[in-house]
Amino acid sequence: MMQTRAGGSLEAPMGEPAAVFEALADPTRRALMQALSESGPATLAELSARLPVTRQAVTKHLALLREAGLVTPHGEVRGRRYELTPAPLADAVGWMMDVGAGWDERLARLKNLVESRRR
Amino acid sequence: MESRDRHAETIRHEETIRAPVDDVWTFLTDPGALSAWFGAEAWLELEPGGPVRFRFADGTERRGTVIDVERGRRLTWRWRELHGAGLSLVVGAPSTVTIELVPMRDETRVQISESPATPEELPAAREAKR
Repeated sequence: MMQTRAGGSLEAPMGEPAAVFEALADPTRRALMQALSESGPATLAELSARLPVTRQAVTKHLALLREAGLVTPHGEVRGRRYELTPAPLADAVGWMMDVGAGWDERLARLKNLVESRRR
Repeated sequence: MESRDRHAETIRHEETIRAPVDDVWTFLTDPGALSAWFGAEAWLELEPGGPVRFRFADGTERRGTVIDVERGRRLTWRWRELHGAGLSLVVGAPSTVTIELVPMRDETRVQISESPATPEELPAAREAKR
């Protein structure tokens, strides 16, 4: 989960969870995702009509969602439809849960070790 | 660039330990003690830019770099997971870990946070800005 085959490079691009969380941090992008989840795939024109922001703003936000893998474009530029692809969302949540469980265990061990040494 | 909400994506953990802060700090910085509570063979050079490496029993490694050290108070590193080797090497997404110690009378509060590394924090982006 949350892993890229990067041929061993440590200079891989931005981590996927970071891209997903950044995508979610903006209310317009959340509204876009909501709209796509309700209507199914939609074009730029349809999305701009449904949201109180300019077409340029929708274009910009769609690009960011696309970068995070949350939206996938289909078709040629003209009439291109955007589909919500929520899998990276589950990966990001999974990342948080994996990391969380690890630290709970480690902190419990740290507490036991430090306190038992002092007895 | 728009502002980034760092709260939603940061994992925080906290524990209060009945020991003075110096005792707890030793457990963060002594490789043997660090290995014991981490559950991994740990290796860490305690200075900014110093390497950090954890080797877990299942062969997985986490490697990275120390970002910041404030002795007895705070330690920050950035790391990522590596498993497999050669062409099948799989590299995880980078994240930043901060361990903070807060002295409280005869106890120490340990606060750990981990969040995905942002593009600006990654070495390639920093190089590009120079």
